[in-house]
Amino acid sequence: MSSQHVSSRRSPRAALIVGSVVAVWLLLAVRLAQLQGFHREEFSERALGQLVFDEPIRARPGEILDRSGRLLATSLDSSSLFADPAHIDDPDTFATRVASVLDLDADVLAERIREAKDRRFLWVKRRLSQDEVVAVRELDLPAESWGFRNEFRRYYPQGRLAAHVVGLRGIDNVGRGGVEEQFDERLRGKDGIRTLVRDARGYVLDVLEEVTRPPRHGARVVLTLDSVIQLYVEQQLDVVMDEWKPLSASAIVVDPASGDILAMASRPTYDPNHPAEIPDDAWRNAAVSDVYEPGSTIKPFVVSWALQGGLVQRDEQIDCEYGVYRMGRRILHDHHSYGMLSLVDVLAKSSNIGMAKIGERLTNRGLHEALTAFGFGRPVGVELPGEVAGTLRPLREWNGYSTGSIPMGHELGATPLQVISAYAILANGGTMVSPHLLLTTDEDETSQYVVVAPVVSEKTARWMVSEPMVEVVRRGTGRRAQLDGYTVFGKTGTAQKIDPETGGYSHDRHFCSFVGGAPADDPRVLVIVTVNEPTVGSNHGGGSVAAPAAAEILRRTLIYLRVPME
Amino acid sequence: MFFRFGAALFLVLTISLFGIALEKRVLSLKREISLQHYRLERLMEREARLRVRAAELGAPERIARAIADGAVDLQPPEQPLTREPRRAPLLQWQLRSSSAEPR
Repeated sequence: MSSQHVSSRRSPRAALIVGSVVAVWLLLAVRLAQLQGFHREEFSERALGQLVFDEPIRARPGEILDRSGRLLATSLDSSSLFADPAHIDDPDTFATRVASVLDLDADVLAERIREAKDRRFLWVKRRLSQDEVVAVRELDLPAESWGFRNEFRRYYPQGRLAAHVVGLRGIDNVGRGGVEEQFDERLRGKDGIRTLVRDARGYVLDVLEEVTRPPRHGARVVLTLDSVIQLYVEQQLDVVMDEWKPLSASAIVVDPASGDILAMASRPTYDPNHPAEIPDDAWRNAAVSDVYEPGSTIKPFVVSWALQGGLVQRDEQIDCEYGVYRMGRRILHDHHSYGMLSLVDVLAKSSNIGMAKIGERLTNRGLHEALTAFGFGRPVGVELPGEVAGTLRPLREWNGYSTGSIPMGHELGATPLQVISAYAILANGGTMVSPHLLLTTDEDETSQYVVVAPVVSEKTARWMVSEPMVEVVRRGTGRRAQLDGYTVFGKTGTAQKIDPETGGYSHDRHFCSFVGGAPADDPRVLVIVTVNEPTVGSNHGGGSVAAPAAAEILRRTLIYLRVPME
Repeated sequence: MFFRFGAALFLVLTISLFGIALEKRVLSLKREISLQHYRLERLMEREARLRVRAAELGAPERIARAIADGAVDLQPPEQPLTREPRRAPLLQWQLRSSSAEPR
């Protein structure tokens, strides 16, 4: 009886305890199932977020080389200093100490730190020199208030050489101008990502190699430029700038057979290693962005097209009217009065009247066709940003004046690159091989873009080069381009610029140019030198301003390329 | 029964120790890989700096300036010295004092 009584008394209590324990366990089990089952991914991600972080692996920007492998641009590691404003108690003291070794304004830096008080990151100075890095370390600043971050600094070992072609890469690794801008994406590469696991104190425990994405370093770009020829060009442009004090000048050297641009330079220029010191007017690459009336340099194309169409004959004599010729209401003049001139002499003596008569035979339609065929009015397509198309008005906007003006290189605008591209057609036996700067890259696919197209017959082109254009240099306006040992061909150009006050052609503002090449029987090199508005000296003709510089570039280049003398 | 318990414990311990050793080895290899990545970066940086130095020393402008200043007793040839195509980007400049005859 009594044991039964006890048992019946314990039973509900035991049941309660057991029930409670079971209930607690059940609750725990449900919670466990909830955490591990239903919300597993969410909590895993939160835990990983606290433990794991991604670190970028920097892609090294690609190098730029010349055709012989000489380095034109590369990237070097450098340290940049940042501050943690939230951990700087006294901005003035911090700024004074840092500014004293980094050549900064302490007041400006202190103000910047105060303004960014709530932020954890503020650039103090980027791309420090090695001496500056050492000096900052020796300051012994509070560890949590500053740090270094590694960045790539672009460096141009050749300095000013080919500055307009190479361009420069800004502080944020963005290409500005030249090849740096044109091939920005290829040169920049793509950063990788490394995933790290760290403990509560921030120490790295593990690298998750299985999720690491390696960087794609920038491609190496090889240009058609030759640094030695480029140097010759730069030196001659400096001579021209000293002697004639023009507003700008440019020069291009091309291998007409391959279309390779061996050198391209422009003045004024700059040193890409010191971007803060670049004057505003030095950014423009005159070789691809200066649009000028080509003047007499256009004449060989008009004659070629007329010969091609059978409208003139090589042995024909043209009456140059002794220097005065009426075309409708307009009276044309030559610099000297000529009577009957052979076709060769029309070019050699650069007779405007002779050319106007050829223009009359071609008519406006034929003239427009000729200029279009030789590539005027559209960009050449060289791998440079900022190349302009020049000006070639639609045929419907031409009038009777155009028939006389176009053959002497007026009423149209062209860039130096367009003019030398057109001459390269004649020098290459009548076939266009579009000038280009890109030789190769180390990427798999080839990216060189070259257009090859016949424009005039080989017979016509060879005759133009070896007869009239040789005579221009032998006894015409380009005599100062003669060289010992090589037969030079070429054409001078002296275009009057528009006077902004009168709106008419100025008599003392000229755009002088010379295009020429050698050897005449098998042209290996073609050069153009343009000089925009010489301001000193008296004789501002292309033959006296541009031809001597072009001849010196030709002479040095031919010897350098080991072209045998005749 | 104790033997069985002991054997089971030994087995569990052995497996655990083997697992730990394996984990340590994996970590050590990962560390090695990270080190190799770091070394590769350092070598690439070193290569870039050496290439820059070589480019600076061999820069055509530097040589031309030295010749113009008379610091180097060289002169460029007045005519091509050979008809062979250029194989290396070297200039065939000769000593001023030597004969200018083509070779």
